[in-house]
Amino acid sequence: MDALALQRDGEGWRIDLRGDWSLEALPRIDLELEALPAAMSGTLVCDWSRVEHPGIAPVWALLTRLSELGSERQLAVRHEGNPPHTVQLLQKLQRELCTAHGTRALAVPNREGAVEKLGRWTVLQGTEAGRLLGFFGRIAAVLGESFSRPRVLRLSSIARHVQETGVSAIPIVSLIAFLISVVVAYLGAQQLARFGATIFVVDLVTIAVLREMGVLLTAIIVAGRSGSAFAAEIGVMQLNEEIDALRAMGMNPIELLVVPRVLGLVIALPCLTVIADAMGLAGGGLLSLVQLHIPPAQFTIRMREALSSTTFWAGMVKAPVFALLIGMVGAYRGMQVRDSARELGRLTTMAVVQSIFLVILADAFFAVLFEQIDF
Amino acid sequence: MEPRDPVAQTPDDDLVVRVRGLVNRFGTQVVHNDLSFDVRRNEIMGIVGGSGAGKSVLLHTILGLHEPQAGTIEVFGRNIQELSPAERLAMTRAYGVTFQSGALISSLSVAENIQLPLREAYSLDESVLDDLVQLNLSLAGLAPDAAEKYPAQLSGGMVKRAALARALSMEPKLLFLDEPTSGLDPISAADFDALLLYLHGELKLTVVMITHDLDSLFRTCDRVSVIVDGRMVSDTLPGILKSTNPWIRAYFHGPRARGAELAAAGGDVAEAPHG
Repeated sequence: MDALALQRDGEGWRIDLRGDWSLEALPRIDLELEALPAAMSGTLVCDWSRVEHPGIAPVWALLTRLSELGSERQLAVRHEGNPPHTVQLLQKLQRELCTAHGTRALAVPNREGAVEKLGRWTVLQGTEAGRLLGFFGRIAAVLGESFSRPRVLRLSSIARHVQETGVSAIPIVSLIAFLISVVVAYLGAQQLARFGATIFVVDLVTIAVLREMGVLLTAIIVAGRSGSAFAAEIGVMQLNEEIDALRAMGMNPIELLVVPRVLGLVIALPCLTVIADAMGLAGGGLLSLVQLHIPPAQFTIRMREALSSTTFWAGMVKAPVFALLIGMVGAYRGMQVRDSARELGRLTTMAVVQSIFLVILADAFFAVLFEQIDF
Repeated sequence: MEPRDPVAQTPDDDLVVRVRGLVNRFGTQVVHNDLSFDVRRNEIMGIVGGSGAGKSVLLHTILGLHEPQAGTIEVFGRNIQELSPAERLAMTRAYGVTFQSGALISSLSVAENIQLPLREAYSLDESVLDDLVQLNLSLAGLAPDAAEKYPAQLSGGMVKRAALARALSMEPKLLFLDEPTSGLDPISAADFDALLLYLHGELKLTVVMITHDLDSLFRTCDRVSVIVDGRMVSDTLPGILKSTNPWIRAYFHGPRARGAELAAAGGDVAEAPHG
């Protein structure tokens, strides 16, 4: 059934409204309203006597449509037949809205070219890099202060973060280092078997694990585990105004929150790397035993021959650097959180992605450096 | 027939919410102990109680967000525990809720927040949805340009109004407000009271309001329910004020209550009598 019927009424017009005018009927009512002719003028009578369940929104839609139609021509609208009590209220609101709209400037649509976007992005990246450097400076300042005032280092807090980021990560780091090294040894064994040089699997595993994989895998796992945790913890504190509260109480949030986390990670990551190295070698050894029938004693001898004096340290020296990057990026992104939970999620993700990216970038840098100085 | 309009099916025409024998326990802590609670049609009911007395738990229980240990909860004459999922959905569309901190979805703009329940329930044109956003913003007393803002960009008072606009978007007959004026300055709080009275009058709403704001309570509420020791004492304001229960006396006759009471009763009383 139609919700409205338009007819001429002497000089003016008349709309008979009828049937269900609840919110649910709105889509149908709106279609019929759209179909009202624009050529009406004079007086218009709305007859409400046969309407059931009049809701607010459909009445609003009718009034909006009528005022649209009336804006071009003179159209005097009258409501008859026991109109819903909301009509008056809504008419008043509409008049207020019209005056509000009249004074409001139209927003200029924001059309940005690709070049402008690129420029904006470049500038943003530049300022971001500058800010990250400044953040590093503030951490360094606290560390510098610690020489004269060791109290600022907060040993109990550092110990807690070593526990959280290091000790509790041992199982997952061990497992992953073990499994990946088994995979590498297996692949190596398959390829080297073609030359009958399977004994070199030991060299492959030893050098790959100690120089690169042990530390890189550990850093990536820690970035996922602890980098995100840093960002989320500090971000939530930022949302709760806890960091502002610390500042207002005369405490330095960098000293209290950031430095213990970063230092804790700088201590934990090298330790985890040692464990990952050991587990990686164990994985290689196990595969050599099972697949290639190289007994552990022979594996150890061959391993010693493959090692140079720097192999282990070439991996280990990277660990604190990676830790610093992960901890700093995580804490920095956490400090950037403002206003909303969405920001928290976005910046936590960003912290993980960026710290992994920076770790790999730094690893590539180390590879070139070690090549150049023959380390 | 699909129970489209639960309001029409109320058998006891006067009661919109009817809670009987409600028991809520958390561990050994008893929050509600055989609590009874009624809300009549077209009244503004204020719920009062000390911190931890179980006001929010009661609200959550009535909304079906919390399963009580015992008791029946009838909303619009229907026991909410016996509703099928479809009936429960129809029921939730008949009431609007605002939560203590607004609970606007932070990743959506105010307009999208208001449209959210409408989009879920009906398939409407974008232009109609935009019209409805303007309608609900006007009803809640917000300027049209608030629509494009995100919750984080709003002031405390605007968050409360935006939450009210969202609650009104489904054209509820029953409105639950959890501390609508907490955290607002006295002017915004008074404006909110006025808005509530205005909407209550114009839209014929039944309102259940949890509040600690005595000014708001004296100004807007027809009846007041006080949760004391896990039970509910409901009466009109003058009745509650005459209560002999020590906690209720302390609440309504404490130093902070005097001013609000006088301001609501006298209007032109400038200062509290000394003595």
